[in-house]
Amino acid sequence: MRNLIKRCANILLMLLLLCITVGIVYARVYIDITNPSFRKLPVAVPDFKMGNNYHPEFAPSFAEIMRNDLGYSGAFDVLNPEGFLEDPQKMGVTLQEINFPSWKSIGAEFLVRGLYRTEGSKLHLELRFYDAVRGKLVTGRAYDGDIKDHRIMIHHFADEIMKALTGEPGSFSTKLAFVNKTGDIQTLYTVDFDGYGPLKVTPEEKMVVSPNWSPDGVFIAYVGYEHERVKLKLLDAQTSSARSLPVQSSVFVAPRFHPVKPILAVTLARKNNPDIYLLDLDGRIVDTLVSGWSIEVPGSWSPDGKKLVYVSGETGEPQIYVYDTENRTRRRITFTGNYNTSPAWSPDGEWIAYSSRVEGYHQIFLTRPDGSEVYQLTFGQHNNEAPVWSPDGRMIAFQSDRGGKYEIWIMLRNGRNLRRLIKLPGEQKYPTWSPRL
Amino acid sequence: MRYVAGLVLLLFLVVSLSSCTRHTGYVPPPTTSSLQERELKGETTGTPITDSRWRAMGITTVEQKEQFLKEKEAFENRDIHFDFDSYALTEEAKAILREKAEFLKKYPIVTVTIEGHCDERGTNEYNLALGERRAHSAWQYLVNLGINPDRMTMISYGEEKPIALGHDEASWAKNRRAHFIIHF
Repeated sequence: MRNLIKRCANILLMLLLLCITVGIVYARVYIDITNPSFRKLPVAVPDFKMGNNYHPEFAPSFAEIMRNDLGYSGAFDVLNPEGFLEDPQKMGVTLQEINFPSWKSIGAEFLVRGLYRTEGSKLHLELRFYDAVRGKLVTGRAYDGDIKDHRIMIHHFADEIMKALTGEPGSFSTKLAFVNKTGDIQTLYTVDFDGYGPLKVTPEEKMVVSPNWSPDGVFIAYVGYEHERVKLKLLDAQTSSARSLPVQSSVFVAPRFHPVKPILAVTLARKNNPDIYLLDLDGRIVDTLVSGWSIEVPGSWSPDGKKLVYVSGETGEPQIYVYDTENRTRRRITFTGNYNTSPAWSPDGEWIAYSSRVEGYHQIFLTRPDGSEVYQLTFGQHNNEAPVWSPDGRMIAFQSDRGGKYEIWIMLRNGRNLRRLIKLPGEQKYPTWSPRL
Repeated sequence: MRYVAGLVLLLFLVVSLSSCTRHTGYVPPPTTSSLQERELKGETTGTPITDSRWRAMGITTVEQKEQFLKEKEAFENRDIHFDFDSYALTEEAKAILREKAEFLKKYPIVTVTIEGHCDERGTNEYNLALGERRAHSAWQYLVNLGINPDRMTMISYGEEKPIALGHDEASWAKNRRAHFIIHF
């Protein structure tokens, strides 16, 4: 009898352990794409199915937006639709209607299926993400809105797919801002993360530099030059209207919004040399953050806003330091190379990307916030500068002259999946990444 | 008689000597101030300007105005140059700045904008700060030479406005500069 109770208890304990283990597996993530042994997941995205007879041209164009997103993510190997066996307009969209063996037979492990219906300017869009190997629905969403917002819907579902797979949404619903230079004119542009819809947002100034997107997505701070005067400006990213902050300085460099509080770090030259100050959004000086006899320029805040990684020329050459705002200490973190600038803290707080001059060319590197572990991400006889992270920390945008002139390029944090953000006349520099919008 | 004649001679000598000393006492020695006087006389013979803006600068003739414009152009066309990643003034830069100080003293009403520039080899944001340092080096030297700091403003363009567009040391050297613009 006692034995039986003991055995029962053992079985119960084992069951409990099993439940917990299964629970953990489910609560965790589908896959870990940061694992070094990670193999890209083959995914099929057939043209979307027309729910009525309007706008047949959306069937391939909507699917293409999704294919690009999944391809950019680095998690997927997007299969060429020419090899598909099923007719996208005849096959169904629901779990019961999908012929999973047919998709498995062409090597697809995942399937994204879309259905759309339009009425006038209105769009109804259903998107489903299937695990083709297990024959299961992973996640599905229905969207109703204006046709003009179709990209937002598709990007949003791509974010959902990444969230279902990894626990962290993608960066598909984001934009980048950058400075475009044609002739003597430098203007600020915004563009979707996939290079769609470039928009000029500063028409009034002849020269702007150093943009930075606020963490709530509302503002872009930048430095504007007008009539031999330089000003720190705040642009409303929605309305493209800008106001000058009243703070005076002979130079403004690298405004960087705090991740939590409505303040920003920026280099001003007020007494003698360029130091880092803390301003509120009305341009009032709240504090002197880092001062020295030399040049100090902000790089970026740590995700918790307690530390600032910055560049100082105090050794006679630019090197990277971390300033701790709580105990007011500073620590140098780069010791190789004699020109280390543009540090950017990763969203998970684990890494700092920066550029370092190697044999005459700037290259992107990663290091830990304490300066340990240094990895080079870019190579070759061209410059790669000014790295910024995507909000999910999977991608890094930077400026590079690898195409013969400076343009914005995007790569995965491991240096792979390199692509040009956008082809525009002129040169593009000073990238800054928006939060998820 | 001989005695009287000797006395007259002595008296004459005394008188002539004393008048002589009195005479030399009245003649002012030739100084630079008299040279300046002659120069001003020469200029008033030039073609006069009535424009109050020029007259406020102490420029009263067409010839003076042309001289000023010539000096202004020379002032603006002469940059000072820096070594890579440096904002220290070279001896050559100091000599040029001393000339600039002379100009600014000669025309005390003009103001000047000092622009700091860099070559393309650094990174953009660090170069904006470096350009400020270069403008400041020039500003500080001119202040030390007695120029009123209120007459000078600084601005940094970093590497954004190169004057030489090549990607070689000759172009880079031209772009690492402080440039000066006169306002009047």
